Amino acid sequence: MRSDDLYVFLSVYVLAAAAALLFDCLVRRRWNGLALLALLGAFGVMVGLGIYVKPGVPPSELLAKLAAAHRGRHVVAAGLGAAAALPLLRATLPRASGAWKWLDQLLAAGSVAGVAGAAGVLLWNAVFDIKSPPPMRVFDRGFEIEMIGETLHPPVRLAVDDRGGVFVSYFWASSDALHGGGILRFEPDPEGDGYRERLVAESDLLHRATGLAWRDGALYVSRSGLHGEALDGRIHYVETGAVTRIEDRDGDGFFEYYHDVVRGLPGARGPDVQHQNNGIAFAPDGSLYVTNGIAASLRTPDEHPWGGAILKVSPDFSRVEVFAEGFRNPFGIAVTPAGDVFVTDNDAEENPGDEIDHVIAGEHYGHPFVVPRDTGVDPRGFREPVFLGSPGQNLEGLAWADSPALPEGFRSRLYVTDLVGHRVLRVEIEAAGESYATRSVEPFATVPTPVDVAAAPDGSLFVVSRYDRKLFRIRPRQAAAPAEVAP
Amino acid sequence: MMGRLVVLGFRASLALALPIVVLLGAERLAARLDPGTAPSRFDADRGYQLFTSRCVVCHAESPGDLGRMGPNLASVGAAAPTRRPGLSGPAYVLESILDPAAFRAPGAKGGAAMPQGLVADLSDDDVLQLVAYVSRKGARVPDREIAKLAVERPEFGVGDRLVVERSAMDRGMAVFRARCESCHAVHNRAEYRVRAPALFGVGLPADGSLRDALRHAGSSPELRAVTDGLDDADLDALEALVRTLQ
Repeated sequence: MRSDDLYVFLSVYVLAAAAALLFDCLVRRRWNGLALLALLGAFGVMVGLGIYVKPGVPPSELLAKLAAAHRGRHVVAAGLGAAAALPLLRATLPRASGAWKWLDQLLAAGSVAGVAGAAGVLLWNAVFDIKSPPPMRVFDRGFEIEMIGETLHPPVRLAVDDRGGVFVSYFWASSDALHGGGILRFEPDPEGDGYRERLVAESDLLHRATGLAWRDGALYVSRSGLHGEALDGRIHYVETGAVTRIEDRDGDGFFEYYHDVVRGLPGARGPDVQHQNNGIAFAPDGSLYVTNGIAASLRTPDEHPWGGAILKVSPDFSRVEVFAEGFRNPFGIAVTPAGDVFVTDNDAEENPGDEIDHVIAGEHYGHPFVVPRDTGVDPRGFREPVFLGSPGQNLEGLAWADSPALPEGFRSRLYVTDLVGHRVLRVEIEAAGESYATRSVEPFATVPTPVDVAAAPDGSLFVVSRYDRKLFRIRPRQAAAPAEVAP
Repeated sequence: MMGRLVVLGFRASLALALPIVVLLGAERLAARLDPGTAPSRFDADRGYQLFTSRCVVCHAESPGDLGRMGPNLASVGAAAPTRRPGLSGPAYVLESILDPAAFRAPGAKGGAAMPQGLVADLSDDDVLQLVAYVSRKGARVPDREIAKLAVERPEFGVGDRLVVERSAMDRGMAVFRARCESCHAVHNRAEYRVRAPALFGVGLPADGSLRDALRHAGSSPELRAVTDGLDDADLDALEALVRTLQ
């Protein structure tokens, strides 16, 4: 029994009790002051706690909203609540006589079953720590979705390698100022049909490991720190961002060799400390693209010329240039085999709309001077997004999937995660001049709080849930057999 | 038995309700006798917060401090009702905030005028919080005089839509990073306003007030050095950049 079920149980009980007591008072003229006072308190509890059951929904509408969801669990909870109130309802009727005595007995039994049933289910779930399974669903019948792993800390990033493995990065901080990060590799279990988990890297260097990419047997991590300096009233943040190559040189499966291939990225900075260098991706020609957030959450320019810019790093990592600018906190990045770069960008705090941008050399994408859906501004010389999300969406991870194992209509598509909408969206784009336009956007899967998505060569799409801390695999059904044979 | 419970219930609710009614009545009576004693719905802390983040750069709060560009506001509440015939104290303060050009107060130094749109990003309630804070400096003003004010923001004559050109932004950012950034931070926090007002949310209108300020603030040699060597195109670009920061 979850909190919304309990709320339904409580509400139905209180409403039924109120109906019975008011009927008693107004029709039968039997005033029960103490019971009415208790009822007032129960209403207070119902309204007061209702605010927390579903934040943002007015308590007056909550019950109607829950009823509209048509959940089986709610019907059971409502039934238990009504059963618990049966004796009060019965008391409003005249005393039964003769043959109707059995009805009284039945009502008493129903009441006991209602209260004991609700409390019993609650206790059972608490004792055995049972939570409902994560809501996961893929909208096309040709696909299947399964949960293949869980992580201890909230994960952020995914990358697939060329051996069927999938890397998941995470980072954490404790109230004792301990902090760190790590990378897990989920690999097909040779002794079963599932996946097994292996810790491949763990270090304080991996705190804010917000970008992952795999190339030629090495893992590249976009990471950053946070270090401010104060000099006579002037606050300045040190460039702490880097892209680090980590390798398993001794072949034991643990990646112990660290080398920064890109240094001097602005990294995380004050005052809002939540934006930094995020997603990274290699292009077919070997160059590396690095996304960088700007320092502030609000609409504010950046002191650092690389804040809010996509950088292009030469294949030997010797040259770094600003490829495009005008982003706020670009997070997901995907490069197509043709070399087109796409990123997701989270827009200003009041969120007028998150973007998918086709990143073209030398272009400016507006932030902070131009934000989406600002009707008071006439922008000139800025790039428009390829796809602009609705204000409620929060676009994070981005992948380009073109595996031949994917059916027509699912191949050569962008897949983007909507963190707060609990969706993975499939985006079809078409050429429009030198850039692209969105032809269609369709829900592909439902996954709780999906933060990143990665496409494997075998047609599998991996999606990771940030706050449910779970890894999901979505794949075409016909691909199931060969994928399991291959070790 | 039942009857006694009923009576008990009624007495209990009466016992709970009576003190509340008495307290509310006493409060209203006191407010009627002296409006200044009524608890204000306007929060002096919020007003102080707004004032220190937006006004104190040019307007001093302590009596006798004449070292700022704008008039000293230590007891502006006492003077406000006399400034504009037909406008109450708070109404005058509101007008001065929303449309500074409407009346030039005695004590304003010659030169730079107060920019418009300083509260463009604030909610109506916050604007009234600020009005309450300012108009209560040296005067007792009842809530209702402030609450009845309508916050009507004048159009700044910007035209239909603000044209934002990339070339101007690129140039403006280059000038800003080279000349301004070492003192004017961009973030909206106290620790970023130590050396100079932050650029956050400035959004100056296209009335030349930025140039005006640069010219007149140049009484200090440091600031003159900042603007030396900037040409008209640089200043245009800087002005265009600052205008977008609303």
